[in-house]
Amino acid sequence: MINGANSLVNPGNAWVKLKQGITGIFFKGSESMIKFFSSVKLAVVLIASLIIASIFATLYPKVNVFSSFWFRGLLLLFTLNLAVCTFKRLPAVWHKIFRKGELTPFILANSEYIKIEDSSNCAEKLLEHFKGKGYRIQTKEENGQLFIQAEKGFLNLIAPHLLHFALIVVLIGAFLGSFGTKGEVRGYVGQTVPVSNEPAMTVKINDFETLYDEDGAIDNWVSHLTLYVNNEEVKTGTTRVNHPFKYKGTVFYQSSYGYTHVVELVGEYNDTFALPDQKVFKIGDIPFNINQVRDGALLKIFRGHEIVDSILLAPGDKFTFPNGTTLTYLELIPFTILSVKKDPGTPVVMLGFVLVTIASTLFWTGRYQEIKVILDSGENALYYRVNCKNKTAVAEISNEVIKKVKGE
Amino acid sequence: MESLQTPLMLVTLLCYVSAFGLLIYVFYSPREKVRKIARGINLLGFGLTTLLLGIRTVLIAGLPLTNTYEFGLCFAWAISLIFIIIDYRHNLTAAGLFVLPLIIGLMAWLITLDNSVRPLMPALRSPWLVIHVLTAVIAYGAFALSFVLAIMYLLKEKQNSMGTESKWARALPSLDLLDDLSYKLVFVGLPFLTIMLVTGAVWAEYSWGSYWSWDPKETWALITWFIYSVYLHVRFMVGWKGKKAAYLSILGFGAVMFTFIGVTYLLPGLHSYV
Repeated sequence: MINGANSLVNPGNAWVKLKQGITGIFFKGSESMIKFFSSVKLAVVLIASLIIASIFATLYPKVNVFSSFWFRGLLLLFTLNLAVCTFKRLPAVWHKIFRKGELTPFILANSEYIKIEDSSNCAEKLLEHFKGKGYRIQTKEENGQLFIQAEKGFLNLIAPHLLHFALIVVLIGAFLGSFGTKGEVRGYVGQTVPVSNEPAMTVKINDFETLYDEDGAIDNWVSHLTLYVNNEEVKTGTTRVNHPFKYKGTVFYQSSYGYTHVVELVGEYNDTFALPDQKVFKIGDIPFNINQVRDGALLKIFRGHEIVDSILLAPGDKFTFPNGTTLTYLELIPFTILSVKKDPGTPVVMLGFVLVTIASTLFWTGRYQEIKVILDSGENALYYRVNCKNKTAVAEISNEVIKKVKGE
Repeated sequence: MESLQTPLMLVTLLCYVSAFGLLIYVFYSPREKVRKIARGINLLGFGLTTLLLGIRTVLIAGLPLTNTYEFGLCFAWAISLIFIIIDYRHNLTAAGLFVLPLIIGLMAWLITLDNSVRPLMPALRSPWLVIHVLTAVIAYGAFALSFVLAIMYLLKEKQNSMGTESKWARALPSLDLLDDLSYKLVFVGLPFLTIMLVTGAVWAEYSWGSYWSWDPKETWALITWFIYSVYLHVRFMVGWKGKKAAYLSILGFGAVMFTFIGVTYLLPGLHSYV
C-alpha cells in the first residue's frame, strides 16, 4: 500500500527507472549486437561459409545454392557485418583525416630518443624536412616542449573503408536486382513483336545482319530495331554483342539468331516451304539442306554424311533434283532473339563497381605514415615515434629523422 | 611465323630447365659463378617468353590475352618477371628452386595446347578484354610468387625448429624477409584481382546481359578473392603472420590454379574459351 501510494505520489520516478531500464537493456543489447557484427571473427566465419557454399555449388550445379534462402541469408549477414565494421570505424578515420585546430599534447612512452644541442634549429630542420616530404604538420608548444605531428598517406587510410562501403553498395544493388524482370523478344525481320516482360512495349525488327571483319571472320551480329511503348514509337537503334540497345532502364541484348529459307517445290511436292537453316530434308531419297553463308544461301546435296554437291542460290535461282523436282529459291528471312532485362539495381551495382575500382587503386598510394615528435628544450632531447604498417618504411623514416636532427 | 611458336617454346623450356638444374647444383655445392650463370639462363628464358608473346601479338594483331594458351604464356611471363625483380632486389636466386618448377610445368603444359591462330569470337571483341585479363595476369603472377615464398617460409621454419644447420637453412633467406615479401605480394595482387573481377562483371553486363551469373570461373575467382581478403584481414586485425599466413597463401594459390586450370577442364560454363 505504501509502495503503491509512493508510486502514485511520484509517478515520474518509476517512469524514469523504467525508461533507464529499457534504455539500458536496449543499449546493452545494441552494444553487444554492434560488437558481434563488427567482429573480424564473424567476417572470417561468414566468408568461410560463403567459400564452402560456393565450392559446393560449382561442384553440384544441379543443387540450387545461389538463389536459396540460406545463401541469401549469409549474404545479408555479410552485408550487415560489412556495414557495422565500416560505420563503426568511420568516425575515427574521419577525425584522423579532417582533424583541425590545435594539436593536443601527447605522451610518447618507450619512444626513440636522441640527444640534441639546439632545439629551435632542430625543430626548424625537422619541420622543413616534413614539409618538403609532403606531410601534413600540426604543432603545439607547451611547458618548454614542442609537439610535432606529421602525417601523410590519407588516401591509403581511406582505401579499406571505401572498399567496404563500395561492397555494401554492390550488395544493395544486387538486392534491388531481385525486383527486376527478364524477358525475351523473338521475331522475323519485318515483324513487330511483344516484349515478354514489358507488356506496354513492342519491338519492330527492321533488319538483322552478320558483320564480318576484313579476314572474313564473324565480327558481330546486329539487330536493327524500333521500340514502341503503348504503340508509340520511342526509339530506333541497333543491338549487337557488347553494345546493347537501351531505353529507360530496359536493356535489349543480342542473344541468338537464325535464318529461314523460303523455297517453292514443283514435282514431288507442289507448294511453298519455309526451311530452317541447316536442317536436313529429303527429296526422293536425296538429303539436302540450305545453309546461310557469307555469300548467300548454300544448297548442299548429301550422300550419307558426305556433301556431293553445293550450289550458291540467289532469289529466283532454281535447282532440279534427280527425280525431276525443281526447287526455286524465293527469299531469305532472318530472325533474331533478344534477351531483355530491366534491373533497377544495375546502376547501383555499377556505382559500387566504380567505387571498388577507386578504392583498389587507393591501396597502391603511399602507406599512411604518422610521425610524432616531442622536442624538449629543457632536456635538449628529442623523442619520436613512427607509425606505419610498412616495417621498411618505419626504418627509413626513422633514419631520415635521425639524419636531419644530427645535421647529416 | 605461326610454326615458330612450338620450337621456340621448347628452347624456352630448355632454358628454364637448365637454370633449374644449375640451381640444384648450386644448392648442393654453392658456387657464385654457377649461380650467376643460372640467373643469366633464367633471364634468357624470360627474354624468349617475351619474344613468344611478341610473335603472338603480331600473329593475332592484338595483345595475346584471348585464350588459355595465351593467358598461360602471359602467366608464365608474369611469374618469371616478378621472380627476376625479387631476385635482383633481395638476392633471392634460391626462390628459383620453387619458381622454376612452376614455370617449367606451365610451359610443358602450354606446349601440348593448340597454338594455331583462330579468329576472335564476337563476345571477346571488346576493349574490356585487355584490362580484365591483364589485371588477372598481374594478380596471378603476384600470388604465384607469394605461394613460392610461403613454401620457402614453411621449409625454413621447419629447419629452424629442428635446430639443425642444413643446406635448406643456408640457402633460404630469413623468415622475416620471406613472410614480409609473401605478404607484400598478396597486398599488391589483391587490388588487381579486385579490378579483374569488377571489369569482368561490367563487361559481362554489356556482353551477356548480367554482371554476375555465378558461372564456375566467376565463382572460383570470387572464392580466390575471399581467401586473399581473409589473408589480409587476419594479418592486420588478428596478427596472423608467419606459418598461418603461409598456409593461407598456399590455399589462395590453390584456388588460383583451380580457377585457371581446374575450372577450364572440369567445370564448363560461360568462360568456355579460357
